[in-house]
Amino acid sequence: MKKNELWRRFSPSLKKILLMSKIIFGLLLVGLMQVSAAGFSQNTLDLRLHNVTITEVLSQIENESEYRFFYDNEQIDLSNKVSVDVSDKSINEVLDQLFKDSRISYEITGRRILLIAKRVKMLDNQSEKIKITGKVTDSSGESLPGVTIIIKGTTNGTVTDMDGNYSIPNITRNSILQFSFIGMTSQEIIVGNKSLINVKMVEDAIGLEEVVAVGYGTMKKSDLTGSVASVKSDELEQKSTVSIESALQGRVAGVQIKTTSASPGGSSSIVIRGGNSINSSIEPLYVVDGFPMDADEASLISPLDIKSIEILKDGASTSIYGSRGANGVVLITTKKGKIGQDPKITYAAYARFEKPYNTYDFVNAEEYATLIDEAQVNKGSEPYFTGTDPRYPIPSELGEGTDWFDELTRDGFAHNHQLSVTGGSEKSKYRFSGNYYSHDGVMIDDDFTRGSLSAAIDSKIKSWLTTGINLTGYKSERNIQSNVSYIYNMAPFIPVYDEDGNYNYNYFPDNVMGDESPLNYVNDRTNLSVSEKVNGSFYMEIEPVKGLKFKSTWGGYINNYENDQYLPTTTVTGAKTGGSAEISNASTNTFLNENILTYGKKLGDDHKFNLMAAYSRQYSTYQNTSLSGTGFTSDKYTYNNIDAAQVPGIPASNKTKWQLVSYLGRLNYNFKEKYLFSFTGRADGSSKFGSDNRWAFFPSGAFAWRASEEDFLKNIDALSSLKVRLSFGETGNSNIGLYQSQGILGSVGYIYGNSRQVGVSATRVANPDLKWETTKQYDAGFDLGLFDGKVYITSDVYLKKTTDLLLDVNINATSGYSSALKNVGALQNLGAEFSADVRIIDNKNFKWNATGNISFNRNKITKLDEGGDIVLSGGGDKDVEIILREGEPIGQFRGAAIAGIFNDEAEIKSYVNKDGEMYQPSAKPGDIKFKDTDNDGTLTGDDWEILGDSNPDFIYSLNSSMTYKNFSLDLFFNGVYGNDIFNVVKYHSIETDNPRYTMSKEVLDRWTPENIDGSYPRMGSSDRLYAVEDGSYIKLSNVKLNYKIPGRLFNLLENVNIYLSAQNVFTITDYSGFDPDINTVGDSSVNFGTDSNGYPNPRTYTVGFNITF
Amino acid sequence: MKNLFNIILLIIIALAGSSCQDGYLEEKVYSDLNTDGFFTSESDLSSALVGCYDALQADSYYGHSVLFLNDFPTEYMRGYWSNPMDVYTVTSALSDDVNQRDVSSLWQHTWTANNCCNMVINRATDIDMDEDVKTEIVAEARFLRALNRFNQVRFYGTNIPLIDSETTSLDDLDVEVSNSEALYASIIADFEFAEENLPSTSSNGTATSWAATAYLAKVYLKLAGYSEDPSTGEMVKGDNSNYAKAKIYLDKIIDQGPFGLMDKPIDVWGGQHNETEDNKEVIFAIKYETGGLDEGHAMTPRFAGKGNGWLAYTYKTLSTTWEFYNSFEDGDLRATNDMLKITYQDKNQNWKNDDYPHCWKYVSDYDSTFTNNWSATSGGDYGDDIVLVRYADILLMDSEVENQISGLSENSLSGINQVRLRAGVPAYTVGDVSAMTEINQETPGSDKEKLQELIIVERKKELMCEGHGWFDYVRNNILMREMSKYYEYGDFNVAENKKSNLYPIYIVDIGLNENLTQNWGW
Repeated sequence: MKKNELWRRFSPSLKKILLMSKIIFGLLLVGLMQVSAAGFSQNTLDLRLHNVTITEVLSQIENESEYRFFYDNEQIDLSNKVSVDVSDKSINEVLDQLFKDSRISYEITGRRILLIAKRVKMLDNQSEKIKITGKVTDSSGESLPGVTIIIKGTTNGTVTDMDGNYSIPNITRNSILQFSFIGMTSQEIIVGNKSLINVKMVEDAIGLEEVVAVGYGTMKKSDLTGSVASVKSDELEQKSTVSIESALQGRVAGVQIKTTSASPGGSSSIVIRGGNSINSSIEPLYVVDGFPMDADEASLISPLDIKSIEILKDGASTSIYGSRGANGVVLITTKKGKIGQDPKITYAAYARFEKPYNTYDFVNAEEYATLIDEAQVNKGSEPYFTGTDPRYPIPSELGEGTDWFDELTRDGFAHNHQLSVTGGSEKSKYRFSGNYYSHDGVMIDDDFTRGSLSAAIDSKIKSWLTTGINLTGYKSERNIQSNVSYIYNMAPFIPVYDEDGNYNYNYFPDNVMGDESPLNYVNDRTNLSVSEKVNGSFYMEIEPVKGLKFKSTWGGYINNYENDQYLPTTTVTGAKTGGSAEISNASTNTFLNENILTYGKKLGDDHKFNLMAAYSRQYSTYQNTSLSGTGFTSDKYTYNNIDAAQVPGIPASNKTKWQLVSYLGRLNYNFKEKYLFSFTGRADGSSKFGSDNRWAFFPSGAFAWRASEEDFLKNIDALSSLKVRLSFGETGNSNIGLYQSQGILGSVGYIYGNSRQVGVSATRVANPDLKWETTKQYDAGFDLGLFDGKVYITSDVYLKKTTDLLLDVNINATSGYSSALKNVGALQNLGAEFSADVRIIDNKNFKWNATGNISFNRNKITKLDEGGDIVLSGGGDKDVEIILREGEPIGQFRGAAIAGIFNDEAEIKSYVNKDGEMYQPSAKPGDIKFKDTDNDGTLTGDDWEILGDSNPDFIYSLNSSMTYKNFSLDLFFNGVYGNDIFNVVKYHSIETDNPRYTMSKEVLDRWTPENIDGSYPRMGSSDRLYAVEDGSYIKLSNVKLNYKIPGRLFNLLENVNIYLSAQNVFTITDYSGFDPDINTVGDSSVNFGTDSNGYPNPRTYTVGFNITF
Repeated sequence: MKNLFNIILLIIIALAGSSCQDGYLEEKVYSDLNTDGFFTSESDLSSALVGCYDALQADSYYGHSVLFLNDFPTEYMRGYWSNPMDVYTVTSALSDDVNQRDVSSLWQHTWTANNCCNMVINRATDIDMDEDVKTEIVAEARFLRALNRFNQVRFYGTNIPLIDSETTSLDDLDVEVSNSEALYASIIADFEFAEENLPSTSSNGTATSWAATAYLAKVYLKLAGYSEDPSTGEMVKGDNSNYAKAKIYLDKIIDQGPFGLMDKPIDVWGGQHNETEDNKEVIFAIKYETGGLDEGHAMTPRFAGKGNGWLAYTYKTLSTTWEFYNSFEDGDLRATNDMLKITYQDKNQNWKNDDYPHCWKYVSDYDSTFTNNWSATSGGDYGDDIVLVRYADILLMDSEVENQISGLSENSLSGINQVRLRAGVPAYTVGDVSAMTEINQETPGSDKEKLQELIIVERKKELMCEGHGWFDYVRNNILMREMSKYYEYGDFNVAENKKSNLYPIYIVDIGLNENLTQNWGW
């Protein structure tokens, strides 16, 4: 520890405050290091020094141990020369010897040792001086060494010894002793007439002292007024996953994460507290180390590089992100080095094995042929499978045929490697890491690799100036040829290869594969996506006056994306064009400048203020180009030589740009540590808005009451902490496309003579009033700690009202435009969240911790343009619609109302309306019977009914972590209840009319004259049943068994963990698809219940280890 | 320290208070053009005119909707999906569903095209450019606007707005409706302006003065014939004096125009698509081009017969009926597997018998490119032009007008006979016609009625699938009669489903604009 020159600049009165804040800072620092008590109490020292200054002794101790000294240069004189000769002594013994004859005393707090000048005490005549002794234990009765005991109001005190014992001489009876220890709740005890004071320290209510990221700053969790959930790295690492979203799944109440694609490099969608838009994206805003970006850009970060993820949920927390905060905000903080930490090298690796499970049951070739011919005959057409054409033998000769699922899938494999170095000197800290991930998916020819490198360096150049740089580069490659639809697009009777050993083309008429054999297609086609991203930022932070900080950050990212495709002449489709190639490039460049001023001030004992004001500007440009061509003399060029194409395609390019300027501020006020107030405001100016609405202002206010600090609750033993929170905040959703407010002339063409003349045509009429969607959110919640923090409960209720919904509404077509984007419509989300963290067993050898959460959300459209319904395609087929209707939730499926299947002719005849007319006179037995829902005597579109609702009643998860000595076992369950999913694969595979697809085995139970109670319509019937299914499930999504090898290995490896884990262990559900955890459409609130060819989510087994040097 | 602090503060203030914020926030358009500030030069105006042609080229306009709405209610167009009474037939022409795809999308597209023409006409005023060129561009735009409006009044009636200015904001969109007189007056004025100011020839297929002349004839022929009163459903016969006006324009084309009949009917569409463009029979056509330019249409595969593979599955095909096929006289080149094919080519290029005959117009591209093009461009990339008016149509109209004015004579047979002789069937004589008793399953009384009936039949055979059917039937007030005739073999009862002689106005617009009322019968 070098002299701290700055100290001299301040008056003595400030010093005390500064000292305290240093102590707090030190405590926090140590807290973050999460050092266990055992770690430092076992340290012993060997010192042999002669005639050196105390300073040199201290630095020797710092070199040999993890202890660090803190002291005030002005008060403490360390220039005395001493000699020390100790071996295998504890720090206390060493220091006692060192300071024996000096005016220096010390306090040990964790690794941190504070040196204090002994004062000459004024004799207090009114108070009797006594000696207090005692023992400090933890909640399980184990003795607790290293507990700091300070006499309140002084800097005098002591530390408990190895056995937890302490003694303080010369103390007055009216003194108050403060007992503090990292991770434990501090206690104050009045001496009174006691001379023996034994203290039982209890652990802090979970995480109360932890620091969490909030927008544009950090905060102690106990000071939070809003609803912020924090997920730490150990939770993220529990599930060996490549994506952040999948690591987060189920961890946070009120956050529903669904898999968009379980494919390699696939993504997930996050919905925080229900979708609050119809037309715009409902993805939250991602902010990585202060840099706002969208999900896609954040998705490449390795979960192992992440220190914590905070999810801002309520209006008061998200409002600081203004026009981008309405869907909630995901703050990602990456790992950094630590000041004064010795270099630490960590290598983590795992290998994962994947197997498809929960597969569809399709008919075999014989069954298929039988069903097809039955359909042909029922339709009055010729049967196919007559044996006259050798390709169509009679059904019984076909047997099992080809299992296209088997042909197109395989066992998947993934492996991940991460190497990182962290450390720090006295003034600088650093972290470097590299990650490599490779994944071969369960569909053939479908893989993903990713590599990333990152560096973060922070340096305190001057006492008042800190600067740092963050750099990350990623590259990913995705090779995707397979499409899940291929597994049911091919009929099972077609052999994979013809008699010559070539791929069979799909010769069944009217097929949807366009004659293509999927295997041929998948194996020969090239479709490669390469993504390269560089993200970098630089900051300078100055602290001209204690408590006042100014930080200016300049950063940007460059994101290049390239897709290369080639369809060779060896495929049926490629042969027709003579080979077709396409290259498309897109790049996004974003620039960000943020300037943040913060000031913290404490007035007296009761008033604490924190102020933040910031100004930021951001812009982003996007550019793409694409080239294509067909007709190549050789397939060897693939996509690498488009100019070799005989028929060049039309090149295309596009460029867009948006800008955002923001002013924002926050005021936190803390009164008596009991009443916490927080106010924020943000003004956003966005180029996306119409010129008449360019600026938006988003205010918020929040209040929290630490009820447990009140005297009347302090005496309740069971209650360790209670905080009640109330908040309101306004946020916006500006996820509108660009240029929506402008009158735009698009580019069109017409043929003049024989050539194309390019011209313009008005595609959009100007709407200068266009603005963001506004969400007002009300939140009330509480955080409750019980039984010495053994139980910690957080619960919130919220109401989100979103207005000015951007809808593409019909306008008078006579204007020349048939629709326009307007701010009409409103919706609301009402919900409740509940999460609990319970330390069921907590003793030295066995710990058992359980956390769980459950959340409910009710979504309702309160207003649509002109009150009319909006009907959208169901995503898979036009026969299932998604309907948006006032008073009802978003995401409802609608279709014809089905009453059943006509068993026989008599039932058709007896199905009549009130006038005695047959409803379905042309129906045949085995056809579907439709309901006359509105009872008007006819079957029309008005009879259609709601088939299901994509919104779950509730979502929940349960996590259990058990640690026995060096073993730990984690189990993670999550589930969803009460939602419906439109299963597109099923829908196609139960088609009985024009079966261009293979069929589900369930269709075997179709209506036939012999099976009039069949649950599927007769073959050849043009009607079919819907496949809107109950999507409720509960899943054991992760099991992990970890073994920590005790002690240091080979004197080199500091820490070794090995683990085995399994994901997707089992799923209890009625859903017939691969996995009910699916939302193939992604970030839309409208059709998030659609499983359109969802990728088979495999069961995986992982083996991995982490080593720290 | 203090200084530094001050400097930093200054920087913040400078950044935060910089007055260029709104400039920074200005949304700059790169890859499109902004309607404001665009129209400054001659090339800007020409390029907007391209947009007006493009509007007509759209799939929901001449790309197929005009043809579908005209030709499905006739005997000569059917779609076969799973049975001859195709879903298209019933829904497009007679369905209760007033949001039916073609009916509503065509409505929208005529107005898009109208707005486009108005933009060119309005903006031309302020552009500093060669006045002759400007007049010609405005004349083209007025021709296209009149064509749009003429389509609107024929399909949707005369209770529609008359909009002559460009839409520039979302306010005040609930326009008043106009009336028949004003709408036709504006159509005639536009066509007259175009006739006067357009060149008589065009090297690249754009509108000529002759096209305007031909349309003036069509407008007066329509005004002479029947129109439905959109409020009452009553069919109102127009003023006979309009026949004489139509005659002036028809004579002008026949006597002075550079047009004539091609040798064989199929030659109008040519062996290859390029020949369609500039042949002497075509007076005005909407132009298409294949080759991945996004300038093609999807009519070709629709007409091309049963075929195979995904494309055929997607479109199936438009066919005609055996009844219609059998109604052709022996040797008529318009049938006999020339214009009405009864075979199709499978994917191995083998000809096979089709289930139904299908019209071979627009299919000249088919042989060479069918198998090549579909995968690259999703089947919608064919280049045969859609002919709007051609010389054979003029000749048949001439016969019709002459007959209406002065009855059956050599003169009134002249036009129809030229068309018949070209088709390889004998000319009618006055005596032949006079002697006929039953024509087109009808028993007309007078010679004039007989010739009129023969002209109706001839127009069907000559102009099938070219977007004339509905217009012709309504003009002659025989829509219900014809539909009853040809729908009786299906399970569709025309009498019970009798609708108006107008298509319904787009229901969304009626909901938005209370000035609009739905046409009678819908």
